[in-house]
Amino acid sequence: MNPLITVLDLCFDYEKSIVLKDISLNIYEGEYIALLGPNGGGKTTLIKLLLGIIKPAKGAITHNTQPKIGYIPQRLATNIHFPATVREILESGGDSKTANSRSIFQKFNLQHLLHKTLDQLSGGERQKVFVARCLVSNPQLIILDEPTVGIDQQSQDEFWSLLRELHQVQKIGIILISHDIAEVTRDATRILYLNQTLEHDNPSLIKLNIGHHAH
Amino acid sequence: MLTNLFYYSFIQNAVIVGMLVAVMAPVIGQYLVVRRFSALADTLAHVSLVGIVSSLLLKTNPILSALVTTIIASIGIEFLGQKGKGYRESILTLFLTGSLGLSSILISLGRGFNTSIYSYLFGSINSISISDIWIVLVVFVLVLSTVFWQRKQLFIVSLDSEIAQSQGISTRLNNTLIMVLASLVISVGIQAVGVLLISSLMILPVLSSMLLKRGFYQTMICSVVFAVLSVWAGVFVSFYLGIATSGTIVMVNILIYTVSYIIPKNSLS
Repeated sequence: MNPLITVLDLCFDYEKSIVLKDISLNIYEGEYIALLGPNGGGKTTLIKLLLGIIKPAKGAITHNTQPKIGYIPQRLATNIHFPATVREILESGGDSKTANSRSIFQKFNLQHLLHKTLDQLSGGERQKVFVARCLVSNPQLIILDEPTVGIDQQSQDEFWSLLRELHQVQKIGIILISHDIAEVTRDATRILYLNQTLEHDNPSLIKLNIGHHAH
Repeated sequence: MLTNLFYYSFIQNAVIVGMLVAVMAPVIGQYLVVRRFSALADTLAHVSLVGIVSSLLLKTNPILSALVTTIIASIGIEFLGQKGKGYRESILTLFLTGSLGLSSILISLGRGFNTSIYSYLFGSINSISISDIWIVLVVFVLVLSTVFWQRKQLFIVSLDSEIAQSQGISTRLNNTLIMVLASLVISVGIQAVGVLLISSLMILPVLSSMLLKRGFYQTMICSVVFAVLSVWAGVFVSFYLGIATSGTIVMVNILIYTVSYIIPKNSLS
């Protein structure tokens, strides 16, 4: 199987200090990848490189089939006063009038929220809106950076089961940074442990060994 | 009373230019506010003073001169911001104080045009000519058609710059675009409300309409309504009370903000 994204000998420096060094990996369609590692280990930098938001100092990232990638950055949680309705946010992700989009809104139970503004939603509802926004464009891969920060436990549980369904039923690939080790290691099919270099790249069997030294 | 008011052609010109600026200013202002960059409006307005004073010294067109200096400054602000040469907010202070310093030196070189400077600082909406109206009209069409054409990208970059970049939108180009549009609006708007007060027409109506908790484009429409209302009320009230038009426009905007703040939001839904 051809990988969706190939990363080869990737390096990234920030103000002369090394952030990432010699990272090589293949990302395949339908994988659920948990990206773990200490703060400053380069997790967010790696996903920004994968998305083309920043450019590598050395090495290459090849998007083999120009996959559609949805992205949910962590700091969205702080931009709640942006004056936009849920409908406007969903429409900015793609054509919101297609049957697919309508079924997404229904499945996510967003119909009754369409006219609400971001600051009228709970943290969990906001996160669902941004996942739905990604799905409107039919992505093959969704990348999420700390998606459950600042949302209550019940919404977190709903969110994890939603991601599980997207992966298992809709076969959408997921790359996820989270400090909720128990949750991500339960659902992920592959664990990457990043601490400037790629220290572990393992499927689920070995993931418990990583769990206890990730924090 | 309104018939009396419109008997004077300078009032007609003032109202036409005031309306055109009142529509453009909050549209661009909203993109600045939601990007937490509203201080840009004030900075560029001060930068435009360098252009105006230079034009008075060199006897060139003040609007075009203001336009050139504000566009150069916009590109400079975006360049330094992207290069990480200081916080964006501090870079604005650099340009604001730098342009004020340069303006004061140029003013001291051109002894004798203090009266003209005063009219640019606080606006001289009642001395607008037909050729000024044409310049404002061209800028009006250019600014609004660009915003309409780029509305999706402008929205996404405003929502989250990283999401925009992940979708292949150049935030650098987009930011530069909005700054150039702001430069255009400020350069033509300083005649109406002056260098010191143009940013109020760009920012205050947006702050008032954001209090109403509407969607993005409804907020924009409300901002335009508030700005237009403030210009109408400003021209009308200042004419009958014999007070400064630009100052009255700003105070009407403050009044609208206060009312928007007080009104319970559930009474609007």
